Amino acid sequence: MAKRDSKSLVEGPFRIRTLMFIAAVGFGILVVRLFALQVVQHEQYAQFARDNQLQRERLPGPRGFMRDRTGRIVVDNALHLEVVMQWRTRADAERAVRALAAYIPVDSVMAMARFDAWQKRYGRMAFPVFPDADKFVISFVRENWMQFPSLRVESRLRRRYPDASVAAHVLGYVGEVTNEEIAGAAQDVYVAGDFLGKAGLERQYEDELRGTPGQRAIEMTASGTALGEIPELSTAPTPGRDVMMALDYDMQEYLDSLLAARPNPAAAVVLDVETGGIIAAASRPAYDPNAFAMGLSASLVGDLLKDPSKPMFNRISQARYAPASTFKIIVAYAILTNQLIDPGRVLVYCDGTHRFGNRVFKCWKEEGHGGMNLMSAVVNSCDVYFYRIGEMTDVDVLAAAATAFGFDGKTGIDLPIEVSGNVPTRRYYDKRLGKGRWTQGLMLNNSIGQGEYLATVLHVARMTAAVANGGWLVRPHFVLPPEGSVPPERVRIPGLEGSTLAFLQRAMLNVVERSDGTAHWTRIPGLEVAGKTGTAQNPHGDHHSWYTAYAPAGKPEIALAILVENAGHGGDVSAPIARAFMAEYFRAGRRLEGPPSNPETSQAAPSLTPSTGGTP
Amino acid sequence: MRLGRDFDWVIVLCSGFLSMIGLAVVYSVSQSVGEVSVVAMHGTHFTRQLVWLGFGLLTMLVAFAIPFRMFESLAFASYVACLVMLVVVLMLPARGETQRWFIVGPLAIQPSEFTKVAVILVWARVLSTHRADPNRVRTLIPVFMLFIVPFALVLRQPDLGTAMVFAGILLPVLFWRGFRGLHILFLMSPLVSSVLIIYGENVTHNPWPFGIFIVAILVVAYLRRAYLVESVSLVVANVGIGLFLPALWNHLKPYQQRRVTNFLDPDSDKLGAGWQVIQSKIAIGSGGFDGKGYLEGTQKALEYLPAKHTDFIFSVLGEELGFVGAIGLLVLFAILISRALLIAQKTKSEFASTLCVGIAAYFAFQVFVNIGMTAGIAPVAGIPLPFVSYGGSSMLVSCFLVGVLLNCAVRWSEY
Repeated sequence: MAKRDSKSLVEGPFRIRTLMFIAAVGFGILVVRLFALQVVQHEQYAQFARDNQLQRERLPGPRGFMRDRTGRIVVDNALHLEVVMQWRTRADAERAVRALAAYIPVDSVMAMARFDAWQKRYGRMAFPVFPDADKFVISFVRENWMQFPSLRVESRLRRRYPDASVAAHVLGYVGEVTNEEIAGAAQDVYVAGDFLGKAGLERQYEDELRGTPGQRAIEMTASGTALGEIPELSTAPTPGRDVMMALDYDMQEYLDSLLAARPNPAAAVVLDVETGGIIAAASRPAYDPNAFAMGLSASLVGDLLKDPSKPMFNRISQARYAPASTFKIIVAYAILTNQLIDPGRVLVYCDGTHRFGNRVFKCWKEEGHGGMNLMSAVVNSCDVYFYRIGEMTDVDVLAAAATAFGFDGKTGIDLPIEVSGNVPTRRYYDKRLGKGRWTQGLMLNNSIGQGEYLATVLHVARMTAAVANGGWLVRPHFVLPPEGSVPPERVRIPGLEGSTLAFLQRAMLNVVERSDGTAHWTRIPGLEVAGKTGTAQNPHGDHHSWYTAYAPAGKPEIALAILVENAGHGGDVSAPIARAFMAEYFRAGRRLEGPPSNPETSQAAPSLTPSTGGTP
Repeated sequence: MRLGRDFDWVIVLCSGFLSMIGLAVVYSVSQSVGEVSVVAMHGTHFTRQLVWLGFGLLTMLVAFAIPFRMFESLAFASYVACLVMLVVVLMLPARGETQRWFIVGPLAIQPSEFTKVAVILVWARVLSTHRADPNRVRTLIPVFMLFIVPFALVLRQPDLGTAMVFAGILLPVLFWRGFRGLHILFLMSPLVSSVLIIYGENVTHNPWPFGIFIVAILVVAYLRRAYLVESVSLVVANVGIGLFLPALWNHLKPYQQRRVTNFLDPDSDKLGAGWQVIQSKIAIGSGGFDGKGYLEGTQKALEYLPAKHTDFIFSVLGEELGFVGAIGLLVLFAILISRALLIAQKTKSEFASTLCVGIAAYFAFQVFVNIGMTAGIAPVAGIPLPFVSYGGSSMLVSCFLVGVLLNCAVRWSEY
């Protein structure tokens, strides 16, 4: 036991003062720091504290509806409930999920895997524990909020599309916004988790359909318990605008069912001949857009993309086919407007073949058509006649005619993706094959719509509409322009008037009405239909079946074009589809003036199997 | 010993006020949303803290009643007992990421808290003998050994904060025993260098603080008239660390590096440790000059404050009682610490004197690091605020040490 020595006692006061000084410096630092925080920077931290308590929640604006021409809702939003969890750390979330598992059958491992994916994508956003909550889960969460304060029931709107994939490619679908889309849009338009139009009209009219989000300010605890809403800081969301389509939904459904009755990929479009408004348009096979609205799993998307029949592919505006014999209308137009030959003159005697140099071109009818003038050649779709025309027609003359019908470009349809048609010109061949390295022989195939000419069903339907409406090239469109705004422009096709127009109209009417017409077998009693069949030769398989028509012939209302892939010759398959559609369309005085035809007969008339002896 | 005259009422009043403030704040914390679910278990933190305070008073009485010479003879025994506890707690299965507690029924005992008392006792014992000259290596080696063993064990838990408390106690004690200031610099400088280097390389990406520090060492050594050998070895040691530490650092696994950088720079991890500090600063800052009012703290009530009844309790105090309340608390601690130092000066026993300096250092260091941490100027370390933070071990230790102070005060003339 040591007594303090003299040295320690002498030095003591100095050392104690030093220690006290050091302690005083330390405490002084604390005082200065606290002064800085609590007095100098008080306002700033007070604001942080207020912000802390506030959670600003974004309320997505409901998307506008899509309606058909009668105002009927085709696409709307269905309410569905989900249970979300506010969380701060992964451990919090895991604890809550495990605690929940004691009451509700939930696979906590799966849920946490979903959580990890969620966190990666959305950061700190509330995690949907039960994205599709049933009544039991909802009532459990509502009753046990004390025990699970971080859980919250949220209602969400989910896009709802028609069943059976009706008009799937036209309507498109919505999907979650990607990071690129967020970055590409103006600021604050989208946040992660928003849905936006990804395809079809949903995408084309995104700006109209998209709602304006509101906000809900809630007082929150750090663990995510909501204490109440602060109305002064909250705003209601505004729904997006509805879009009104030219579509007649009943007819759309019917057209889809007609195409879906066969496994063959097919596309069809029906136009209002005067305005270009699309009454029905279908592409098959199709997908279910509802699956996208729910948030498709990656594997399902992969399956859809890998499917060889390409259900995601919009054959209405993206599939180009050789227009085949439907193109003979344009060739006839070229002949008439350029006065290449006298249309009444019997130009050829068709024996089923045509010689050009040392090559033999065949007519579709092996035994031949006999003597053919322009009218009978169109009505019988005689290839030999048109080979002869091809021999004597300049590339650019035909190209100009096709260009007049808009085959060289896009139709301007209001869909996000549309492909152009193709019109081969002299320049085109020079560029592709080299100057002087191609011959007139190419024109033989071109003149029967089989060479380098390519078109979508939209191009062909529009061509038919132009013949029907007296020479106007309309712009096909799904969505009606808002009332009071200018209707889509129409372009006058030069020379498609007077005798030329009358000749083409008569020719197309004869295709159906004259007994030797290739679509005579599909005529509808009581309704005059003008049409043209076609067979697109397909190097990869069976021929594609074309048919285009308008009706009623006397006072045209609708024009249509139908293509069924790999369906064999001419109008065998597509013409009966058109017949069924038109019979339904004009049935019972829907559109047809005069007394209605017998509904029984009309109902029975649509037969999808070609009758025996049918001619293409 | 004359109880009437020499009993230090100021210390009793200070620690009494501090405990009352602590209880009041713990009560306030128990009024927040998240507390509801805890109640069912073992009562609120408030009632539990009340019980601990009762035990604390008992401990204080015992520490006061037993003559301090008994502590001198028990110093080594208590030190060894604490080391055993530290070893045992390391061998127990880990609770979460750390191994700091013994769980006995409803109690969680933290041996590292008691080790703080044990090291104060054992250093006082070793350094208070006549032959002990802290400027001699012969004395320093045992002192260093006594330091490094608990330091290493606590570091293993891992609890760098508590380990640093040992250093925070040892340096003032050595200084009090006549250790030369230059030697303290010598001891401290490699540590400071390592921190500066890691900080410079990983947080600020700025090597200059280290360079300035080396120059500062040389200037101090020159002013203090250090021997050439001393100056050279100082620079060699620090530059050596500067050269080898980066290589050593790269040997660490990423999570180990992260642990160190988080310690040095909490803002780098805004959702983890950084989140605590940010929220704590918001609480204190939003309290303003006179606070939001007792029980009115929003940061507290809405659960934004982590560990708000233990390590971060000062944030709640700062939020509800404001700058005024915080200064009041600091004044109470300042009085307590200066009383301890005055007793150290007055007492005739070498042991008791050293003991009192150790106790003053304990309070000063804990208060500085704890409040500094909540105010964002000290790293986040699991160091409680004496008397105020909820927790049995800390309360018992604080009460015991106050008892020892009173003990030394009344027996000032004994040796």
